[in-house]
Amino acid sequence: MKPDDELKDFPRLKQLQGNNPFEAPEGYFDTLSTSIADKISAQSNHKPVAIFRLKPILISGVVMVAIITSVFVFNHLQNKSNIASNDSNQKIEVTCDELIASGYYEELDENLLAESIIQEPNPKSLDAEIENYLIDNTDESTLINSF
Amino acid sequence: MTQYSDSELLQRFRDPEGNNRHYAFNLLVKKYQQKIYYHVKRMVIDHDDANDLVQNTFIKVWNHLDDFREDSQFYTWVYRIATNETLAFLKQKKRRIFLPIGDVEKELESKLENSPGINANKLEYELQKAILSLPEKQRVVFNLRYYDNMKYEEMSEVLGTSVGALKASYHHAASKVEKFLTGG
Repeated sequence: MKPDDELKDFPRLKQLQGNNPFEAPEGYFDTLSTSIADKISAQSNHKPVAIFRLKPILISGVVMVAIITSVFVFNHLQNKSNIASNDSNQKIEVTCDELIASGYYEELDENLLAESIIQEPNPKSLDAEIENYLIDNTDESTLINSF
Repeated sequence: MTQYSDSELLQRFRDPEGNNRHYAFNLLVKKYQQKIYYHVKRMVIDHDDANDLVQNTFIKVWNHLDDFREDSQFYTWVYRIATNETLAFLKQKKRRIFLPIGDVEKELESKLENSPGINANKLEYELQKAILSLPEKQRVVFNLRYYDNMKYEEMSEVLGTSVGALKASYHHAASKVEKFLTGG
């Protein structure tokens, strides 16, 4: 069946058939083939590299980056810990220096120092205490017999 | 200009020495550019969109022409590529703007009213609006038959649908459009 015959039941469509209301800008079709040819030559100049060809390069690149990154991170962490330990040593030195420089030791209260020494347990007094304990809690005959 | 047949141009394109490749392709583009442009423009309305799609279509034709085995006609093969490009573009547009189908139709309708590339009287505008109200694939069927006078067998090559289904689809589409125009 021809398109015309198919429209016999559709008078409006039949009336309008053959009219194309769409237009192209002037001169568009004169330049379209050139635009397409330009795009095609640009495409062939920048042909994308097949991914399977890139794979070995990509993998070796990724491995290299991973090695460099891990070396860098390791060094960085080691430096950080060195710096940290240096810092703590420095702090002690600085503290001591500062203390000496500030004359802190000269200002120390001698009585306080003496008290702290007295409060510490004396080994001699400890012996005497043991001796007294034995005298008080041991039978004299046992003591005599033991000698 | 000598009018070569499609198979002559394809032969020249496939010339083993490759001297006529660009020349033959250029002639193929010139032969079908208008038909393809209007086919696409009826679907997307906007000239810039149609221009991009037409260019992409012919670039794809260039890229795959060596693989074209001539199981179908060259002309229906180009139409098939253009149709697929256009339908994919419309689908992507819907997905991109997250709008319901009706809103994309409204957008196309507003382009129809404001586009400088349309020279239509009131009734022809109404006809285009009616065509825009059809589902996309039915719109393609309607346009190929109504405007391009394409045979159902060729339409079947373009759309990969049986002739019977295409005839039914066209009849439904024509009926809807007529109703829209007569206010029925």
